[in-house]
Amino acid sequence: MSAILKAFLENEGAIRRFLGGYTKSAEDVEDFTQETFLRGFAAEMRRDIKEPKAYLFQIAKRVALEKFRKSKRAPMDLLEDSGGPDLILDEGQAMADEWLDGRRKLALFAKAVAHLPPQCRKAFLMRRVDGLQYKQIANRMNITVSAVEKHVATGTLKCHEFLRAHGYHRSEFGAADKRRPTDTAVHAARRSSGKPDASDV
Amino acid sequence: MSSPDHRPDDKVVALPSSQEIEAEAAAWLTVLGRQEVADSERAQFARWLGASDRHRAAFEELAALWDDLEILKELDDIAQSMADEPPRPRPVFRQRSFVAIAASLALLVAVGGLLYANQQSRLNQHATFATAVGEQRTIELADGSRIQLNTGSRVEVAYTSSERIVRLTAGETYFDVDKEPRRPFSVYAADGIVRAVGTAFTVRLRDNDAVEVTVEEGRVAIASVTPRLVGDTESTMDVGEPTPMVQLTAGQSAVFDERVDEIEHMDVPELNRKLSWRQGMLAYSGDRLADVIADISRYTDVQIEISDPALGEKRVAGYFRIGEVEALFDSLELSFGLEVERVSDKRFRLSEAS
Repeated sequence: MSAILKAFLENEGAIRRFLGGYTKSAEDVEDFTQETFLRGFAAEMRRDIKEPKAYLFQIAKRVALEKFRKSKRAPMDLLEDSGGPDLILDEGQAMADEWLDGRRKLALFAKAVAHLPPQCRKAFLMRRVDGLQYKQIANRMNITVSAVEKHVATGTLKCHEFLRAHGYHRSEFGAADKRRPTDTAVHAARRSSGKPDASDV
Repeated sequence: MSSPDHRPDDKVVALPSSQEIEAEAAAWLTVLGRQEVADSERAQFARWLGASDRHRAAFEELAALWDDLEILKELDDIAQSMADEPPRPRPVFRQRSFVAIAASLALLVAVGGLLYANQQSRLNQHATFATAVGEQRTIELADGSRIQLNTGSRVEVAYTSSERIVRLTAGETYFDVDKEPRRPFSVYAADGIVRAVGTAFTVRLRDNDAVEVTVEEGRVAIASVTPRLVGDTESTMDVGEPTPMVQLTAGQSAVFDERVDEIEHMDVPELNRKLSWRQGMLAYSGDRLADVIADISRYTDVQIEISDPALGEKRVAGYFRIGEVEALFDSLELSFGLEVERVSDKRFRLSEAS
């Protein structure tokens, strides 16, 4: 587990109380808390954090102040799109919601990765975020290519397990949640009309 | 494996556990991520994948998760923006040498210069980009939006201070659009207009001039114009009033010309399959063989014919790297029991194995 995640889990309650001093909205507190972890972990990806706990509180403060400033500015300028009549309705709100959804999803995924053991996490991030080839990763980490591949496979598997254990279901986030419930039925109907099974061939 | 007689049956004992299958699926996914994958491994993978529906489902699940994990790249942007305002628990000047400070000043100056130059060019850009058959290309436009041209595609970019217009004149392109509320982004293709604010979507110009739009993120509005767009990109702005038709949201795909033929709702794995070309892969799940071959043909100058129309109706699934036609043939032979015959240098015929 990453040092930031450990510090975050140990101090999550205190961070929440701290943020509660800046906003009365429980939803904001939750979002700010996750944002705090997210930024801490993003920073940790690039360098070692010496005092993770102090660092997290600093971030929390900055997040709170930033959001406070932002909420004072008109969030309406997004609405002024010249998309013509009825082309794009309440795009501003929709975009803000989407942003938030994306941020929540990112925080969950970041936690999945933060739970990985250090070497595995390092190899996994080099592969998935930096897009390096296994050989390049092996050189940088001074381990064998097959060890890198094992780390990457393990990382994928463990992230999958973590997300499943935390109730992540793709359809609940981003893309799919805008669909109406009937879509699933449509989809299922389409599937059954042409049996998509390769072993039929 | 391809004959129904061998289809795995739940009553058969000693089925591998889900955990084992998942671990194997993760291992295969990693192997397929190598720069080069040996033919023998591909064949082995095809056999593994065909072993049961559970194998296939486990692989698809992990492959979709791998795509979802793309979101982690945003961590980089966050790390970047935090580096701009460095955290300071305590004064840390003693750790910085003079050289470092001098270097960061120089960097600041250089970046300042770049930003300025950028501001100027963000407003206007006129350019044409194209790809050959089998080629793909990613381009960052002046406003920071990214476009990815698929095989045999061509776009003309015309940015002004009030509008961002891209005209797709051939093929298919993925658009990841930067939000600029005051300067709408529109894609013109044949008689259609696809308009976005901040979103990611694909536009494909089909052979019959119908336009196919697939939305990955956000929302787009589609509209059609009459008469037909002619002349250079500049003049497209003057063409009659667009008729708004419909809005599409993430996970939806539509084919339209002067009217919308159909709107398809896709779940995430399906959407990922549809957009897999962006990762240099083609993914199919239960598609008609004829459609799969037509699709693959877009990426190669090799001609593939299907001997018997009935064969074209067969359903196939698989995951192929673009351009590796040989690997595709191997897997058709191994997993789907087809025979691939080389008719001439650039022509192949598929038939049912005797």
